[in-house]
Amino acid sequence: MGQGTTSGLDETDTRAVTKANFLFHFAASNEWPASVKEGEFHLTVVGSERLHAELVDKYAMKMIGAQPLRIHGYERPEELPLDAFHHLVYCEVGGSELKRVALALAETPTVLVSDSPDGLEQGAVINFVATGNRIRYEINTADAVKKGVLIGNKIMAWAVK
Amino acid sequence: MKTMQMPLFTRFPLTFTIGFIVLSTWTAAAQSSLDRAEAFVRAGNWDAAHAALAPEMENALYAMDARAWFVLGFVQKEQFKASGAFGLDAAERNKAVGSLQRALAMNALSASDEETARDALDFLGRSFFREAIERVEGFTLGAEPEILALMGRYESVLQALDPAYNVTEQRADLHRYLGQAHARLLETERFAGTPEEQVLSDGAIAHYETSLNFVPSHYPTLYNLAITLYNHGVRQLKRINHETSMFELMEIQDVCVGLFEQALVPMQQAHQQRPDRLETLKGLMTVHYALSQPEASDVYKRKIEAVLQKK
Repeated sequence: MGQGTTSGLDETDTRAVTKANFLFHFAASNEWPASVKEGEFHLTVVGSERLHAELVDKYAMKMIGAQPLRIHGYERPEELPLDAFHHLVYCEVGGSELKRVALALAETPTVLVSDSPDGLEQGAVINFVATGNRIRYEINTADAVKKGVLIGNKIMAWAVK
Repeated sequence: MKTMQMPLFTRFPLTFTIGFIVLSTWTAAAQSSLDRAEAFVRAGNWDAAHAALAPEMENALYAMDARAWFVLGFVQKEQFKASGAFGLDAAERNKAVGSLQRALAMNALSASDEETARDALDFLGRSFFREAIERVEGFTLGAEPEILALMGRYESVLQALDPAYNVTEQRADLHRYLGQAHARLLETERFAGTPEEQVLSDGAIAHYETSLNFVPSHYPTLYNLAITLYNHGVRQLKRINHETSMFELMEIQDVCVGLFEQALVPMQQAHQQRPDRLETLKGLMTVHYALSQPEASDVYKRKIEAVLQKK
């Protein structure tokens, strides 16, 4: 046996694993307007290839109520097709780009999720935050109400604000 | 070497004479056993040497004969080598150690016999260590008590030869190897989701920590400990799926964050040992990222880029 190091670092994107499960819960535990409760449930990821891959791997085609979950992925915000409906959009980038996405989705019952220090200020409905080295989230419930989306009790219970 | 004494028949009454005859006959037989054994030793016939000498060793004459114990111990050592026996129960080895230690304890061996006895004991002691390491290399769950017992025998033999003998480094090595052996079994995923998985993880961590108690600041041990803690956290996280409830997710996160926080300490200590080592920089970048500390993670990302630019 040698003196060297033998173990390799597991290169799994740990934050992507956790965020993917949160997004699945956001999809499954919130209540969308009846008008978008038919057909597929569209969950779209912008700017995070690894989060998209994690969602495709573990959650694609799982049922959200009666709707099979469809996962979409785009590299940049400008690639997001605004002529199609997305129930849930996760946007990795913050700042003005996030704000542009929020404005584009403002009149739809799309729940925009961000991971940015000022995510809610830029227009996201749910924003991931770090609390005690853990991933948590904050919610703009008023914005959700305006969109006709009822945030589920389970989701509310674990929100930091 | 003892010489046979001939009785003077005429000076003693009959009973004493008979007694002397019996004693002398027995003494001669015993002495010739040692002589015969040594002749067999010279011929390399270990079993015959053992058969000639071993049955006589409880007799009063040989029980205190350092040379006889030395010859017997040497023979038993050779029998052990020839047998290919191994493990704690290898009888010839245990007997050889006992005989040679008894011979040395009597302080009556010639200088050359004493040196040979010490060399033989050293060989036997190190055979325990070699076996312990072999067991680690082919490690299986449950092998640990025997490995540690073999190590204990090694230490007791070597320290009996030299009370000042320092086993610290070998102890540190053995525990590091045991840590690696546990970690390798974990990585096979053979025990994924079973109670043994936690046993293996706890075992790996405990052995690395014990190794560090013997040799603190040992870079590979610090790094391996950090990786074991971190990877065990990731292993829990990877089991999250669509059936994981919010409550479970929070619980898993708590466990993982605890492990990641623990991993950070030895990873930082390893980094202090070798500040430009890429694997540690990458480790720190990754652990800080997993702890949702992007700024700290970026610090190490930039250091990696700087190191790579230097190359």
